[in-house]
Amino acid sequence: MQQNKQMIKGLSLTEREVTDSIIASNFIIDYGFISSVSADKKLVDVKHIVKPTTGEDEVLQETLTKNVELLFPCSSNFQLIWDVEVGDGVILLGMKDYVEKIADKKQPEAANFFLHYKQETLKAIPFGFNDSPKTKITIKKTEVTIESQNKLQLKSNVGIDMLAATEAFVKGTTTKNNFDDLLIAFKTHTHAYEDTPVGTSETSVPSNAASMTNPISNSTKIKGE
Amino acid sequence: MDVELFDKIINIDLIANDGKVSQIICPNEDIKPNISISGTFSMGSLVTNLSLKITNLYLNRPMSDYSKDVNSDLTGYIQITAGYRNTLVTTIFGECFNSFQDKPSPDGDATFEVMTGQFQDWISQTMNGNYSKTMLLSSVLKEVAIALNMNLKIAPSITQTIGLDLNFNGYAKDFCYKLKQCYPNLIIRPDGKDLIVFEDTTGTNIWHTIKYFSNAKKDAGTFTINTPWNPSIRPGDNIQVDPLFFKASFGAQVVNTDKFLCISEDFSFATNDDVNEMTLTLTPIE
Repeated sequence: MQQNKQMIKGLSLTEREVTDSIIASNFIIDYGFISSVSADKKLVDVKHIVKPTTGEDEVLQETLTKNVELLFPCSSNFQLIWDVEVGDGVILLGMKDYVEKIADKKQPEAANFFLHYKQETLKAIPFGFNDSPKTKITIKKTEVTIESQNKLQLKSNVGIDMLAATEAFVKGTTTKNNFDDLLIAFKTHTHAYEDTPVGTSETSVPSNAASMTNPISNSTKIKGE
Repeated sequence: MDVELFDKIINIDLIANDGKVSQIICPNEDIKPNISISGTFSMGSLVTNLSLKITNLYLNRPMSDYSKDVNSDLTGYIQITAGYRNTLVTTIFGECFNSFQDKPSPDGDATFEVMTGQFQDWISQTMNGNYSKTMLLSSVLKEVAIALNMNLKIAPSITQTIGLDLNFNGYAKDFCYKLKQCYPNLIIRPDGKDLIVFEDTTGTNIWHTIKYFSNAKKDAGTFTINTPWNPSIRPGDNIQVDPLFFKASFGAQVVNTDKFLCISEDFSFATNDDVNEMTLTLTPIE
């Protein structure tokens, strides 16, 4: 009788029900958990959050999609990237066509496989909420905080300006080298003077320069590389 | 088909939905039952519909016991062994989804509508798998056949790897459809207890030679021929015809090959009547 009811119901499908059925049969967008991460951290295996059911309401095994490409906010001028771990949540986005790795593609190409919105076309974007991440950037209305349980590094090839560039942030090594140069300059500089209207000119080293030391030592330098 | 076209037999195993089997056998001697079958084998990924008619059939239980019960999963199966005695016979296995007596009289026909292939399994069996792109396509298809409770019969020309990491969780028949999307030349055809797989450009590599025609015509790129039924031919099989016949009919320039691929097969066959014909649609290969 249950099947009869389904058959009768099947004869009176609304457009909405048909649309729902088509969307539900395709991998357009989904949510899942990472079950393993590849060695290069670019591919993940993802367990889908909901187990599928058949037309007879039989619950199938969990859906596992292997080798899903991870995507991060990225362009040539900026990239935000982080290591993902097993158990992290990801949004799965189904692409219209199958592209094995978007990151490797530089120009359009012909399709090798005619798959649309299938498990193979899914891409993973780490997305969710974690109460205690290892690194956290919080942006509030009046302050921005960066907290991390890991080593924090700032790297720049051309220097780092802080406090709106009115006070430059300078590397410790650079500061020490500058002080060393200054010290050498003090120790070796000469003064020209006239002793008497007649006679020869002489140079001398200032007596107090010999006691000067570099106030910036290696042990106390700022680790700001 | 180099066989003697007489002593046509059709033996029937009716398997009721409780598993009990009734047999109708064409005996070597005496009176043969009046049985006819007709249907179409097509090349698509679909089960094929056949019609089996038995005149003056008496069963000691309701006919509905031999067909699918719509209120349950109970299913009746039919096995048909048909052809020419001691020479060329084939076995067709399928699920009976409808049975009825069309003229309730001693000369009335009992009709069984049969889906070749294990239709219930075809529509209900599920599978779950992740396949690496270096895996052979034949190995993946073997798992599909196991899920469908079928035997895989794959053409030897299919030797490639799958080429992409395939994931699937759902009905096995849907996975067949997905494989067809990935490999557009691939034909996956359930036939009885077999899952037949081949490429539409080369066929199953099972060759048949046809020597006798009753008619042949050419439509665009395909040829249609009428011959007595060869029970072993199925869509996807390779057909070799007498080149002299075709060249005499169509001219040598039109037919520059004698090797063809069978795309579809309509057939009618009966034990007692004169009915014995098949219409094959062929495309040239090579």
